Amino acid sequence: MRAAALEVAGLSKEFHVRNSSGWGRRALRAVDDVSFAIPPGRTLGLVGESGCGKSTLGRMIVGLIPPTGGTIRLGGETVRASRSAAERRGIQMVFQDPYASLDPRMTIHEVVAEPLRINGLYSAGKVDRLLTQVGLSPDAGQRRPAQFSGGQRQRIAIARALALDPRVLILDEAVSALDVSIQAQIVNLLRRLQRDLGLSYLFISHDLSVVRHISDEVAVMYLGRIVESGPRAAVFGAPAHPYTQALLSAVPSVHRRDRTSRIVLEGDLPNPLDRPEGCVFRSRCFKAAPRCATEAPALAALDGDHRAACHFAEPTPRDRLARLAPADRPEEKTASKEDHP
Amino acid sequence: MSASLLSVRDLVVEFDGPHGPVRVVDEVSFDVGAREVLGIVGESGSGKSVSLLAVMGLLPASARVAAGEIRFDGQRIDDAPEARMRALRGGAISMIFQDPMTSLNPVLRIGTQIGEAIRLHAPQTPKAELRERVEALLASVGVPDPATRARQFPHEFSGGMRQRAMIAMAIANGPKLLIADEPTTALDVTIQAQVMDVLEGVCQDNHASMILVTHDLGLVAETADRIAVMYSGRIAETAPTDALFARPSHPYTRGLLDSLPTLDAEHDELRSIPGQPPDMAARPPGCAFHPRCTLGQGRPACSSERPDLRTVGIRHAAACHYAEEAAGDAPPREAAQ
Repeated sequence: MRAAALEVAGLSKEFHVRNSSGWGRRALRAVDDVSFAIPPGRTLGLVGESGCGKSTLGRMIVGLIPPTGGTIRLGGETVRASRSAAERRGIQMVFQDPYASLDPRMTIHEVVAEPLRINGLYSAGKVDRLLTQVGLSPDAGQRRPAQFSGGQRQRIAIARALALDPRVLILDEAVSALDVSIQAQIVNLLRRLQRDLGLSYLFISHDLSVVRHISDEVAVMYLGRIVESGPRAAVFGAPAHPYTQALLSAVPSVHRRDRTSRIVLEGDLPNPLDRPEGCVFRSRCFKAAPRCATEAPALAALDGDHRAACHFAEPTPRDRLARLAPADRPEEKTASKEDHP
Repeated sequence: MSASLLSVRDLVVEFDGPHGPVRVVDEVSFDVGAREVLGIVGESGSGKSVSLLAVMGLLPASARVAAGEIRFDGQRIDDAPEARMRALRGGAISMIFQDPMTSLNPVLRIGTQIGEAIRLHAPQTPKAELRERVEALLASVGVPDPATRARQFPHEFSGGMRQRAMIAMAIANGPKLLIADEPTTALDVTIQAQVMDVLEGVCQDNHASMILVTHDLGLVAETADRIAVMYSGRIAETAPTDALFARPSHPYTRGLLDSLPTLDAEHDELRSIPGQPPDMAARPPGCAFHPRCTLGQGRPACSSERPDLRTVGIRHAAACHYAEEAAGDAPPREAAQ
């Protein structure tokens, strides 16, 4: 068996934030014991709502922030805490906001050339090839970011990420800021590049439809933990964790316009400083039972690679999700015990 | 359609540009009937928010209504004096903005801010009654423990709760028309579902109409009775929600629907719309969409004659010379699952 392009095991991150009193600090567990592997040429979609730790996870993998615990393996080799140039080249990142991630004073040529120069690999021809590869003309190199639209800027950011021939790209909400028609162009570009270059993607997004389109495997995060993972068809076809079930049922769709089929969760994401004991999802869960408060469920296999961290995991086809939760009127069920204090 | 609550006719909004005025909204007309939900869909820069700022009389100083008329409840409001607009805003017409963090005052308690909205329109309201009404409003949008919550500051509220507070403020004076500009864009999908339920609930309870502005086609599909699709400052297509999705008759609407990945359909490659939306200051001649349109390629009418909205079905209009063709080869979307 070939080694995974990227493998992480037991990856955790704790931030130390000041107490509300101003004295002393508390640990905020942003990422909690996350493990997964991405084979060469494949895409893992990482889904979750804001504050669930998905961006922190991406930043640890690319080396922007040091993990508190766990290992990262690139092509079977463990990446050390202080990365070698080759290790850094192997994992590159594309950020969400192409307006903030490109230096407005640099020409496009310089933006794409910068990583090459740092590594002593610069040639003008290489930059031109990169721009062509992402669908821009080499002449664009003489212009500055302000002269490009959001979609074109994201192409430039992708060209820069590809400059060092990485094996793994971390795409952190890379198409979320774009309009629908442009988003489709960039998604198609990413898929073509993956086919041509054999890249592996960690595709981080809150947009379930896009994740479903681009991913081979999917992992769902909630409050720092992976609560469900597996092949795309399994997770989207028959989600097993109540959180995934609620997420999928809540996506507005132009095809299923039946609002009654939604599971509306109660309350908000709990404060990560004050995580519920036992299962982290139980404060909003429609299946919560006494056992959930005492015993944190492990990510356990259901069927092959399909895993869920729930005591009551039950793969349920999407069209039957509505029967899982009582469809109360929202006014009666909005009590949010876990609102940020 | 004499019964419409809001009627916008041939609205033109111009912004000052470095080379003269730029038409950001170009002869836009739409109506909102009593208790109707109109969805306005478009990509960033399509003029959807600016049209509604014009309705509210809240255009920035660099912009003006250059032509057209806006009627609310039969009376013109586009040239109404500021005093009348003040009475309308937050009264019969109220607006909910995208980002509740920037539209709430961070140093005032939530209850004070909602109370202010009431007092602006009824200055004599006694304090005790004011407090009661604020708490009742918060309870009606599903904020638990309203007495305590009213005394908290915006930073003590989560995103979803802040948007509920904004909705409470918007309905404080029993509006007839709610304008919600991307009300859930800043929220996560599970919270979005909660907030949309609240919004629809308050519209029903108040017998109010709503204009829902969004870029999310799925969201309007669920909520709106009728949809207007905007492109480059103009309405490209307008139709009852079912008709729009069943028979999109403008190539842009079709392109949008095709470029949307869904949870249901299986597709290898997304059908994207090539190119970029045009610069408002340099719109292509003829149909603004023609450089990106597959239907219009090489057809002289598209690059020379600007298509006007014309009827293609029951309450269904599209601004395309070849609307029948655009609709005809469209397989019914419902059947495409």
